[in-house]
Amino acid sequence: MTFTMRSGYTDAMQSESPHDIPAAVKDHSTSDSGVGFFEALSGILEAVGDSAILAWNTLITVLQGGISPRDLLAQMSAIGADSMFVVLIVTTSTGAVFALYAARQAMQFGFAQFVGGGIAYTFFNELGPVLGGVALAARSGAAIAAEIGSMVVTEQVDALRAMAVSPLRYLVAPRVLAALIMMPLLAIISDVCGLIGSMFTSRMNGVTPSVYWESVRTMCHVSDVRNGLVKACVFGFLIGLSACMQGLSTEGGATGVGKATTRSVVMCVVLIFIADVIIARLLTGVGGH
Amino acid sequence: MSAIQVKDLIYEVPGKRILDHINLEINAGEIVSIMGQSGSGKTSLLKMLTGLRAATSGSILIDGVDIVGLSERELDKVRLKTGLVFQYAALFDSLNVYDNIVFGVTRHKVSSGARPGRAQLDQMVSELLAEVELPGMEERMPSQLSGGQQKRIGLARALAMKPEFVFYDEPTSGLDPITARTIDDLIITTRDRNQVTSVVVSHDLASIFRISDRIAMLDQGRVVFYGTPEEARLSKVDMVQRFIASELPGAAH
Ligand SMILES: Nc1ncnc2c1ncn2[C@@H]1O[C@H](COP(=O)(O)OP(=O)(O)OP(=O)(O)O)[C@@H](O)[C@H]1O
Ligand SMILES: [Mg+2]
Repeated sequence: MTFTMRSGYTDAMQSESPHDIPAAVKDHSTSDSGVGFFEALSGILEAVGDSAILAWNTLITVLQGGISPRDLLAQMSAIGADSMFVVLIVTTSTGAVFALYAARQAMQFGFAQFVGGGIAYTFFNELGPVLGGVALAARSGAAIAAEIGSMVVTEQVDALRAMAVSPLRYLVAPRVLAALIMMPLLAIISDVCGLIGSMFTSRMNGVTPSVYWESVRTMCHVSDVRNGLVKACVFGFLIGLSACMQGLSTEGGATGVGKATTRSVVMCVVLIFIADVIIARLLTGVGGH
Repeated sequence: MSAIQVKDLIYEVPGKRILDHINLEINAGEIVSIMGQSGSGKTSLLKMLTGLRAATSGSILIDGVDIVGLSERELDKVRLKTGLVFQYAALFDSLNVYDNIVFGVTRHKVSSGARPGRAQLDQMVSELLAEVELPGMEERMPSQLSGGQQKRIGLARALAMKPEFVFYDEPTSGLDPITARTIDDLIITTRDRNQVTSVVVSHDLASIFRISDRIAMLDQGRVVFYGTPEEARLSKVDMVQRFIASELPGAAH
């Protein structure tokens, strides 16, 4: 991997704050110059530990109802507006291209009645949430990391704390919750766009819409959509959380913000794929089909 | 009992001791100036006083509460009584001047139930803006303000919460001498109004001698002098003499 896993919160966050934000790496020199396997491993473990603490505290804040509805709505609309366009483009074209290949093969080998269902099944279970998640990570995750990162380096996060406003409550919780709520919506939009895109190219290659939709109806179940939405919720949570975490761990001025933003995208995408494998295993393991 | 009591405070970052055995006692209603060369640890000290940085050892008593080792949540109780004016303003750049100033007030009143009305907030903001000589700036965004203007908004934001303790990080640096005197006056009236205890980090000797009850001199993380302005003038401490001499006409070299 080309990026170094690090869990260091900024010096600003280093004050002992067991309630809110994890105390993080004490000695940056080891994690930065870390070549040894054990240092890398401990870096990863610390990152995991920090995320777990942040996740837990975010969850508590959310459950306590400590988020202002205004902050939440603002974040939800920002995420929706930011990511929607990317999602539309990515999923429509993926669906279209996917169907292009599938329909040609189908016409040649005679399985036209499986095209629509096959593509829809893949979109509901996998491509919808994953493509939507990657789009969200690239667009909104990066924006969140950059925004929080620049607030850290310009001492705005310190200003919040000095005014007894918890950055966790004011910055992290609304973003994580907004990502968690918006991600399933984006996944549904992904599904719809993917199906529409694929239907058009299928038709151009000889699979009629009626055959296409009939195949979707027979091969897919509501549980496929539901499984995809479960994934999407988890992805949304992970994206929101790691983007905020990377933002909060920013140090070193404008360069630091750039690094945190890149790190956030890499981290989110890696997490999406790891989580995808795990959830897919769990969902197919327990009575899925 | 002193309002602020700093005992044997040490602050270290990996490989560097930034504050070294700091001892300071500040009485309620006193204005104490902290001077020292760039990099001597003044900003670090103010950040420790508000719990933004964790002390390596020692204790900091604010109103009798030792804030060293407190959790963020416990610190927040103390922070409701303190205000910090940041060296580089640190305004929330996504909010306009008005929302920056009312930010703390609305956030905290929301949780305690009694929300101040819009008219009340409007009046508070326009009074504060008049005090920092920026009337009518409510709708401006921070990016549309000069550095000195931003800093004065930062000051207004800190005072909006009516803190019992105010920590000012170079409130007059970068300001013209006339505006700087206005800010001095504001620091004094703020103190007079509610016996506010003030700690002012400053390089501005004119301002320091005008407003301070006592002066502390930091040198490489240590307090090398702590006394009244008169004592400072007579002090034999090398760093204090050099500071005062540097401002006298013709003593620049
Ligand atoms: N996060 C950090 N890591 C390492 N050193 C730091 C850190 N923060 C501050 N320092 C060092 O601590 C010392 C004190 O810094 P501080 O900002 O408190 O100085 P200052 O007295 O406010 O200076 P100025 O008048 O220039 O604002 C400096 O030498 C600085 O290099
Ligand atoms: Mg400073």
